[in-house]
Amino acid sequence: MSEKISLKKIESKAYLAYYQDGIYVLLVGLSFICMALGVKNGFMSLAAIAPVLAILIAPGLKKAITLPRLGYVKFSPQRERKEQTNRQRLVVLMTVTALLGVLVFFGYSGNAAWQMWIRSLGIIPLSLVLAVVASALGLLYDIKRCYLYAAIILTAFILSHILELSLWFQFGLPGIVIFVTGLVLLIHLISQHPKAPTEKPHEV
Amino acid sequence: MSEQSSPPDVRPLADINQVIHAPARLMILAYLYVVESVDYVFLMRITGLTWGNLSTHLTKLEEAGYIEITKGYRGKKPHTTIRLSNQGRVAFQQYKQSLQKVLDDLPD
Repeated sequence: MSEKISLKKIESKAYLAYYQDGIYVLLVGLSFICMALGVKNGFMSLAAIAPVLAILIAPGLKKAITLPRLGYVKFSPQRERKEQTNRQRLVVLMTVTALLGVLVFFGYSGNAAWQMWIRSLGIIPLSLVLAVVASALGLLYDIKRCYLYAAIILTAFILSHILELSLWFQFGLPGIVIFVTGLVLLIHLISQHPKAPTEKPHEV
Repeated sequence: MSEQSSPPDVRPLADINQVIHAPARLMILAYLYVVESVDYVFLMRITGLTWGNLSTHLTKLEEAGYIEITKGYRGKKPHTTIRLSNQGRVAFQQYKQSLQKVLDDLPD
């Protein structure tokens, strides 16, 4: 049994090595900062585009920074299946989040009864959704620091609701914390793992 | 005259697979056992072995038929992938079982 556990740990270590590069964290933090800047300066399109851009450039950064340093690994079919299930769950979660986000957005722009009710809740529903997404990521990928991000998001949103601070603070504080964490992880990866020497051409 | 229990039979230790038993090779096989395939860089990072050291151990494992090394390309760059062969998987399982049996038989 202990052998089974240790082999599982070996597999987890290999798998998690790919999430310790900080690239996704950095991009999520950057998205939050863009949202904060967008909200503060009235560029709502920036807030909407930032997460999409982050998703688009992440694979390229991974290929340019992580792969030459950590190498390439193809995980077992069981892990690939688990990963696929996780991705499907994430898509569902993100869709629900996006729908709730749209609902909250429209909630602030009208005078119908339900819109008044959403307005009365402030931005707290959105913070709950974001915190649930962060916690779900932590649970699905076994990355404990995601729970910390969820706590920071909730704290920032609730604090600013109580103290009547601007939206900039609600997005900006978690954004800066997440961005700095990602930056630290990325610097750690680059300093600890310089690019490995490239293989010599194969003999024919 | 006090009754003495017979000492545990540790002779099976002599039959332990020596190719696998070396710590570096055991580490390599343990990683290959839980993944589909890896490249040199990944193995080097995860095991902490140097390029030359890793190469020596991989050659020994390949000669024993425990791993398959495929030389290919990723884009224009040469890229070698390593995977556990069926023979290697069976040998690793047998090694686990025999070592576990000997260790289980030892008194605390």
